[in-house]
Amino acid sequence: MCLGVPGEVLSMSENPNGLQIGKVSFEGIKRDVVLTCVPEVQVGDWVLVHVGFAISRIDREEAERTTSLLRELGLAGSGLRVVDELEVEGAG
Amino acid sequence: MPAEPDHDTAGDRSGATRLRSWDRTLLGRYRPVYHPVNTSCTWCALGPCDLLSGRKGACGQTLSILAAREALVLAVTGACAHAAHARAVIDHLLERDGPELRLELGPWVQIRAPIIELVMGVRPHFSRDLPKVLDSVDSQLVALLGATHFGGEQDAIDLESKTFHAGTMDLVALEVADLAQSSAYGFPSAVRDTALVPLGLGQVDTSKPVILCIGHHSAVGHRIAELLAARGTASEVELVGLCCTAHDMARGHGASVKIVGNQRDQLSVVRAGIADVIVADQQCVRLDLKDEALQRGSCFIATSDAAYSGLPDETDVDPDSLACDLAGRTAAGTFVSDVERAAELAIAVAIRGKRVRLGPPPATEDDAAACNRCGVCDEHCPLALPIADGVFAVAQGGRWGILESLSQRCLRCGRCDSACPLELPVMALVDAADGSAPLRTTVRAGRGPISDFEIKSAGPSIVLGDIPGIVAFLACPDYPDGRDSVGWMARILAARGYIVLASGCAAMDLSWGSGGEGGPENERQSPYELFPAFFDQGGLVNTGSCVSAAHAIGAAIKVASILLHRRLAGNYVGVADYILNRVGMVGVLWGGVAPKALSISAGANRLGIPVLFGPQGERFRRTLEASSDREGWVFDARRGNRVDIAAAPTALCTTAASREEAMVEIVRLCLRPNDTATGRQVKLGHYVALSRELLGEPPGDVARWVRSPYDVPESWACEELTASLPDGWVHTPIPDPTILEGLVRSR
Amino acid sequence: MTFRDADLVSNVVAALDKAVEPGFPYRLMHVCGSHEHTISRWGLRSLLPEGLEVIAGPGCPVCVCPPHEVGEAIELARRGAIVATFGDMLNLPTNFGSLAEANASGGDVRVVYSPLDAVALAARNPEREVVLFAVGFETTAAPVATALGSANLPDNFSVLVSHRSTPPAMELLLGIGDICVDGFIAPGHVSAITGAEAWQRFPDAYAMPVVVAGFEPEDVLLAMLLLVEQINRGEATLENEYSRVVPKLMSSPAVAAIDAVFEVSSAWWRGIGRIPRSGLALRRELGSRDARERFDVHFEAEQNDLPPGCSCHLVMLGKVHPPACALYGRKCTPSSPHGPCMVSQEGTCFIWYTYESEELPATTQGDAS
Repeated sequence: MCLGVPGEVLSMSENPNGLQIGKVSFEGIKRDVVLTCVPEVQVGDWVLVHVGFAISRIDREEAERTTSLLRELGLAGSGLRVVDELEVEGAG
Repeated sequence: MPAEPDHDTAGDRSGATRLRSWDRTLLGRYRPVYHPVNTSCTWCALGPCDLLSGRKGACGQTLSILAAREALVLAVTGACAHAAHARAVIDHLLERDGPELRLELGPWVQIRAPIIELVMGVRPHFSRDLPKVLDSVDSQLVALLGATHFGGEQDAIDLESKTFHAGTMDLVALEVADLAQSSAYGFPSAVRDTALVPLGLGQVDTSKPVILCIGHHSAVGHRIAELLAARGTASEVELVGLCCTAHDMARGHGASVKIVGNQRDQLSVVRAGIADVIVADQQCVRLDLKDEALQRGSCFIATSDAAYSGLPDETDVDPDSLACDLAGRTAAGTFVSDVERAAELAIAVAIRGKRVRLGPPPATEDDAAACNRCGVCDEHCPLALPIADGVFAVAQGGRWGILESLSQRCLRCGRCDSACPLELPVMALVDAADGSAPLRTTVRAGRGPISDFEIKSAGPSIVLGDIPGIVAFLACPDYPDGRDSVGWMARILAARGYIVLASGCAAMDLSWGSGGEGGPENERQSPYELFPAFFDQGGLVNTGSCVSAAHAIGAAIKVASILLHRRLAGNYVGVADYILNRVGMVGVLWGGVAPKALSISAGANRLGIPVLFGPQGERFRRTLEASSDREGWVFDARRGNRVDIAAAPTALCTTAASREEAMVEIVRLCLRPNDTATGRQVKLGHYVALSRELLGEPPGDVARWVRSPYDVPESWACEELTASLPDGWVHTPIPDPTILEGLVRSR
Repeated sequence: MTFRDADLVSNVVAALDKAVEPGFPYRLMHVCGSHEHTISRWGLRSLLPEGLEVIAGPGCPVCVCPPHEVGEAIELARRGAIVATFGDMLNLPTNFGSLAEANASGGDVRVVYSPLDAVALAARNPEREVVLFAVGFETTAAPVATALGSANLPDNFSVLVSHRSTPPAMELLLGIGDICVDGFIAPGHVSAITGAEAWQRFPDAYAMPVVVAGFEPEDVLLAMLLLVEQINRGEATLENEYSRVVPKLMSSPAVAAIDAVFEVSSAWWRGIGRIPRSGLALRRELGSRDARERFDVHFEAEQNDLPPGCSCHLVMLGKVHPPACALYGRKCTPSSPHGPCMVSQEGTCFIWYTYESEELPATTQGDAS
């Protein structure tokens, strides 16, 4: 169940059960989405939503970075190191 | 699928050479280390040829060749014993049930004959399919024995390859025998809840006439049980068994049969005079049993033409009149080869009433009084136990302590008795000193095969290493360090989440040993009551008699087949390579002594299953060890390169000197190149903990097994980690291991 | 968002053409039905250069849900509980029937989109038991866990847990033998929960290159390019193509929510077997929320959990492509599915049937049956 849909957070509030809920717009269609997994999210942010829960915030800067690198591929050809090599501390 | 042997597979005469290349690859990694028993060869009239110091014999033989040749002869002998037994089984069952008997092992087992399928390329469906399989086995064993003739095979590695082949033929014979008898007698198969059967001399009700069946072919024992049940006279006669026959009778009739013990108990049991009638067939029966039995007044009925025992063939005599006649003989021995008649005879003799008195009474100080501590008994004891000291201590001051501790280890072979110049009843003194006798416990009736479902359930965990290993206790009860040794090992392993399998004499001995709270040693709770009989983490499974050892091997084959989705036929080498590299199974033949033990181990080795013997295992002339100064290697099938790693398993055939060493070696032998990081963590955790606990220090080779920091058990402290990783330690990636170049992707 | 751009796609494809060395087989595997969806929907396989292959692994949680667990759900419906399920599970065929059939024959089975819908059902029907049949990987486990952890949870709400976790299945793929993979495309949304670090052991311990990828066609193609380049350099590292969504480290709130209610357990994967540490079970303290404990419903796994002739087990392990199955497209179609891979929107067979052309090979390279 990996289907995740991006949407824009229009407003945020807490529901009677203590869950942080956001009103999220999916290309105009508005739905309530649970935001507890993304506490850093603010109104105006974009989130990725799965089964009514935001599972991640979409970083627009990163999105633009990826897009421009994709464009450059057409110009520079292969061999371009596109993204960060991840070195996770403590795992090795 | 028709049961015509596929002439392109190992079942054919050419089979011995088809697998030669695999054998040589395997033997290149696990080189034979020879432990010659005879240093001069006496096989031909030109000898004896002294072969020490590099001397050659008259035919050009060297010491290694002699040792290899003797090992081959032993392996062929063992394989022939099993093949002859299998033949006796199917001959009887074909006669009893005809050629259309469907071979079934219950709804949970769809791969019924993994060994036959793998080796012969055929899938037997009916009883009529089995003779051809055995014909193929027979002809190959003839060829193998022929190669040991004067001036036969001259290369040690090729002799070893032939020994492997004898082992393979052995395994096929085992599977034929058990498949036939399980189907014909309808043994409960692949189920967890087989009966808990009484085990031990203490379980026998000697107020009734006792029929004791000894040997391997259980047809007569089955028939006796059937007749008693049919006539409603089962409660009048005590039907008991010794050795493999007992296992099979228990599989068929549950707790209405009692198991007195195994091969080690034969002499004591017969001398104790519990058996009014003894029915004996073939293999592992003491050669003096008939005489001992007749001396005690037991009626002795031999039933196998492999062991006539010098008795008159009275098969054609009417059983009732023969029973009458036997009552009048001083030596009531006879040979009856017909199963039905032998069964009728045994019952007819038994229901005439008790004929043997229990006893003699336990030996006392008086019996030891004449001992002068000459020490001849010690010299003849296979374990060099301090018998002389023990008997002398009793003679001098009634101190039984030495004999008591000795009685735990004594193999009850009786050599001391026959050696004593004063003819003291040495073994009787040992028995009298034995505080743990008579044994009164249980063993779970054998359950035969592992089900395909259990394989699917536990298979991934085995291949990944989460289930740290499968340990199969097989073979003979002649342990170097006490009859409770295998039970001790099995309990530790099951408690640690290993899968424990057992068959034959070893399966009975799992019931000895400390465990459970309180009560006298002989009444402790059997591990079969403590651990569930399933093929999964912490399970303890009695597969049955020696022929059921095929099911332990079959389980390893099924793991390969079921996880790989590969057919078995024509795929021997692929499956063996898979097992060698990915299935953490080890056979423990702690007391392996009979030639059959060598043939089973050779068969297992060729399939990539390592075997651990007790120290006497060197008597099989050779061990197969990875060279310690040459690291192992595998091909990484994925990446297409050869990688140097620590050889896992570390040996194919090796020994340990004590049970503590054995425990540590067993868990190490379960390591495989394929272990995932978590699996390796689990296995190393046990390896280090057991080494600490039992040998007093962590193992010295831990660094060889840590491929990356992910392999280190979480419980280890930082210092331990850094200490175990020496300077220059290099991280090696987990390979997709194979030793077959053909399975490697070309890049 | 400026993804799904034809120019960007051709840029990556051109780069792939240059990067792929001739005569050198590259086999990449993904483990996410949504990735297979992207690949098939946009016809990416037809764009790939010769020698580069992408295979679908066990990425469909509905497909790997064993039928005995569906049986447990049906039993609960039979006993009068309202069983809330995600849509895909409704028509999954088993020996016990399907949930849709259970609904038709008197059981109360309701499709929900979100776990909170199931909670709301429980609040609205206080006199009935409501059981959420929770199937899914980590992406779904976090929402289910959050729902279980929320305040004022109705007493009549419980969960039939059927969550699975992909990394152990991937380790099994590497260990089981006969599956040759040169690199993994890691699922982007699972990684949003677990963090990219969940895949770190693959390059570290297995020298297996991994790239976390998003779900637009450019994402998947870019991930393949990164993998090909790693393979060419003989390297194995963890890279994150989906950096706009996936953080380096795990999502603490999501993982904390999961840890608060679940613990790792072994799980049965349909067609494959029991994989250790690959599932979730409710913690003992939450026994009353565990539908199995609450209603004492414990079905045993079945010996044969796929219908005769079905090759889902081979498809899910990436050993064959759907057309190799004798039933595919003939007896087994989305309207009359035989095996689970044809039922779920994330099942490889369903996706192929919907999008793929006829010309692609039935077997993957390296198949040796």
